[in-house]
Amino acid sequence: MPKHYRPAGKKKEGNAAKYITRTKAVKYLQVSLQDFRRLCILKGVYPRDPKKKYEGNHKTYYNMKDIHILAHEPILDKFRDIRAHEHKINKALAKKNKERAERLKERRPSYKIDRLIRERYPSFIDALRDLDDCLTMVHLFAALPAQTGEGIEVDRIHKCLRLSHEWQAYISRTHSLRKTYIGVKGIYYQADVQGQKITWLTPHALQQVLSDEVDLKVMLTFLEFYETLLAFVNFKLYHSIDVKYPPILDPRLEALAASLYALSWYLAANSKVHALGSQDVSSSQPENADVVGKGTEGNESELRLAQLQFQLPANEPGTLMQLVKEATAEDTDDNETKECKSLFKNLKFFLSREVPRESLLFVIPAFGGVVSWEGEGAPFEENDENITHQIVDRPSQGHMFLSRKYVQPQWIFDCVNARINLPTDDYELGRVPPPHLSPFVDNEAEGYVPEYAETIKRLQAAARNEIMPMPGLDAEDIEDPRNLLVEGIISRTEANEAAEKKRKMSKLEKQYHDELQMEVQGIPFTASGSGSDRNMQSPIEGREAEEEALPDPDQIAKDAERLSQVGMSNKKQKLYKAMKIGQERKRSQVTLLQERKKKAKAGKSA
Amino acid sequence: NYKPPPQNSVFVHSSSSFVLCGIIIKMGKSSKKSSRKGKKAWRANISTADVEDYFEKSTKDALTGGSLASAPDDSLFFLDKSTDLSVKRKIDKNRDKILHCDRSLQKNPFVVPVPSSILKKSKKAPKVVVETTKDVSKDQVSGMVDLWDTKGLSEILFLADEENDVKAVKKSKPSLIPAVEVEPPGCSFNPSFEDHQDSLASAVAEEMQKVYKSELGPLPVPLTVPGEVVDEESMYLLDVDDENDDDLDENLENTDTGTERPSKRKRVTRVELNKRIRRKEKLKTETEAKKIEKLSKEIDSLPDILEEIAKDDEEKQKRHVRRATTKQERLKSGPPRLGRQKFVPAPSQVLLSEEITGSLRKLKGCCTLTRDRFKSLQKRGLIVPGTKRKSSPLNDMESVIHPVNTLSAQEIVCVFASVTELVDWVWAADTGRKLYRCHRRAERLDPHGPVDFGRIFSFNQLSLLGQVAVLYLF
Repeated sequence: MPKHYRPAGKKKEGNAAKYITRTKAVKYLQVSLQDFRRLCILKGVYPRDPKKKYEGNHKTYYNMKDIHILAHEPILDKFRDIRAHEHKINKALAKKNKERAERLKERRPSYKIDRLIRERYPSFIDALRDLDDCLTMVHLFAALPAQTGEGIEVDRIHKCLRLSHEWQAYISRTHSLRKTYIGVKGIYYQADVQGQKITWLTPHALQQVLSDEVDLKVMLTFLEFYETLLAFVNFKLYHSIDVKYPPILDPRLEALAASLYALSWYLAANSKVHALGSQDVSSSQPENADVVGKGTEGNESELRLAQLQFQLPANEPGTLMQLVKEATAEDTDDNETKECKSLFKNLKFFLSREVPRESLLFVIPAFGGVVSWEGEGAPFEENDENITHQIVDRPSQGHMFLSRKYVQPQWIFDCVNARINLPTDDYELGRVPPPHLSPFVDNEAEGYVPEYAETIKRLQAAARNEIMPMPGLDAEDIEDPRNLLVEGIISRTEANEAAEKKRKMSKLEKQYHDELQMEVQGIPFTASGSGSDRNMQSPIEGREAEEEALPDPDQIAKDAERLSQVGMSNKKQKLYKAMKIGQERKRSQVTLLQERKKKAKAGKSA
Repeated sequence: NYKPPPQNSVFVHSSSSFVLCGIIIKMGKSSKKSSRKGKKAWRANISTADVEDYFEKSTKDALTGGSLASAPDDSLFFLDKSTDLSVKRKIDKNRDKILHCDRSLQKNPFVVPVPSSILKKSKKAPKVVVETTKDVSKDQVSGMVDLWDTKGLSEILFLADEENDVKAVKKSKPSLIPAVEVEPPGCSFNPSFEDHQDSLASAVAEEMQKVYKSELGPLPVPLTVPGEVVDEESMYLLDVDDENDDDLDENLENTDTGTERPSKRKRVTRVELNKRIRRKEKLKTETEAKKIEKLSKEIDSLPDILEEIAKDDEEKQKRHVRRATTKQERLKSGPPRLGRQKFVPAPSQVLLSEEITGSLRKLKGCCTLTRDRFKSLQKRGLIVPGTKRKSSPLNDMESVIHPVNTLSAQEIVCVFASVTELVDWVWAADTGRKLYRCHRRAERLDPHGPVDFGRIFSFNQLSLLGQVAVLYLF
């Protein structure tokens, strides 16, 4: 008798009943494997790893329940319709009935996945929580070359580009960008939207290669879902700041591939209009009208006219600043947003041609800066005298303005991560800038702090110290004295830090002793059952215990650990042990790193 | 008064009348011209219609068998009852035709339904699906509504009320791995020395692991084996020889065993038998004693045994913990086995020491982000790691694209001018390797930063460009 023999009438049990192999699922649903794959991706049904793989280790298993849900999916019927329609087209083509084939091709049945999104993400927060993958995928496809043979249509790419720009415009408008990190793979961003940390990755401005390992059909199906999801999310977000969602853009800017900038204009203008009411618009109308007449030729629709009117108030560089000021007046933002908003306040940036324009156009306005670039459609020219910083990334610059600083693009990203305006000396033209550190690493948890991180920390502390006691100081020369004072402040801050550490240590010790007391108190309580008078004595007892414990703190710690372990459940104990192992590993790594650093230093000096 | 002439026969009469008629007509015509004098002219004007009518009537009567006017009513009219149907058949005819199978399905008024079935039916409210507004939904572009607005949603999705409150199925996340894994600090475009060393070390370790695995693993089965080729005939012969030998040997053995006779058994005496029995009993008692002794010893060493058991238990527990933690760790680094293929992680992207320039412009970034995303999907267990598809020249060209991107705009203008002249695909693939070598040189030559070609050209165009770039540079 085989191992898994089951009499004819008997029901399946256990894993055989809970799971189903993919082949069987496909047969059960009566769809092709491709359609099954697509359906699974759209519905969020993923393969499982059952405890007992009753049909072998080489098969893919799905939850039987999931498959039952799929069987009732209306989209499944749509897939079948589409398949039948394809048959019709093929038949028409085979019979050389071209006319009919064309007609059929035009009337292909389509399906919508709106309901699926709502089903998978019942609330908006759920959708935000799962946005990482979505954003990364959309940004990636926005940077891919169109390949009709592989199924990547031009329209698709344009849609991705539009969606990603809309998202970026929202983030930069609401100043909710928090972290940036340039890696080898691309640029990582982290934003805080409605309390949710959203991380995404955008590729560098390079040609992306499609390797044969990648199944593009699968990717495109994912993209299909994500596009729809992002559109809905964008809609919701835009409406939350009172902006019409499908934004109408200036076609001129769009043609110049500056749609992100166009979008930010649109956002700014629209929300401003909403804020100030219709009076402002009507007052500015006569001025705008003749400008419109000059700027655009002939046949504009009314729509475009209206839209231009919306934009023009924002056209002057000053208005953007006004907006920022206006926005700061609102007290709805939390502290972090305020901090982000004012990081590049009153600073004017100009991007040279060789720097990554897309990302900088996104990052700088997100932190309150004003930005322009070299090329058509830019808000101001290179020879504008108010420019404070010019971002360059070339070995030498021909003509230099003395009124502005020439920095490498890394400066922007480092400033953003540190949340202070770092001194620009290290980032000047032609120099190798200090290392770009990852803001996603928690240095304290890791136990190892890189050198530059320490200096940044000191600078941060310095900035806080300087600004907090003297708020009335005029801000015209904040940076230069700071540079001079850094040395002095560093020593002061070091002392401060040491004091802080001491305080922390003492605090921790106190807390620990308190806890110990509690435990000591607790045990006799449970043992005796009564003892109100003991409760009175307990502080003294606790102190005694403390005194006893003090000579041998290791022993006490061990005892406490054991005690707490006894209290834990079996599962928790295991987890605790696993945690301990992880910590041990981390510690060893840190020591290794430090040793390596020492060696490197020795090597350098030798 | 005109009197009918004596009757001869009907036939004659009729014929004569015909003749007469002809004459009359003739006479009528001619009468206008001829004179009206004489008897003949008079006769011509006399009408013969009544005579003819009479003749006609009489012949008709003769033929039909008498005049109908004189016949009685009864003989003329009667009720035709030959095609009449019975009443039952008439009703049947008016009814719709129902097939027997349908009729058997129809409700029989004389059969009372089972009460339980009625109750069930009455509980369910009839489903009403609104389909009137479906056409509108098709026109609407998806994504242009507030999906999470509960009020207006029913209108938007055009669903029946039951379907509107979509059941939120709480699904367990398939994996612990985040969707976007941030690269370690050593993979920054301008990493600090220690971090970079760290990342580099791990990348090297990965590579070395591969090398060691291939070195220390079992040797593959060799494709060729040294020796001569044996043709079929001789192979048969070899086999035959062996068999013959075996047979011979067996025969020999058989003859040997056949000649040997079974040895005669010694007879067991009574004394000997008794001896044996006694010995057996003695042995038995001894073993029992030993057993008891052993048991008592074990009882004495009970604490030791307990300790041993505790040790065993501890060992087991430890193993369990170890397994649990390793499983957790494994799930953090990759998916469980989901199909035929194992998940193979993509190699980590670390810059080499000489590639770190500190400049964002000269960064040699990763251009296989699509693969990275795809691997991430696999890593999280969303899709099953599949077989590698057929390798294409795309894979070889991976490294080719990059240097092209670092060319400056001036160079591209020159390159573009000559693109139209060169179209040779195979050669383009071959030059890929050369192009990679020229990457450094291209970097040095480039004065004003990379141009984003992905936006301008397709892949095919790019590889062509690369090919021409080689020509241009060398």
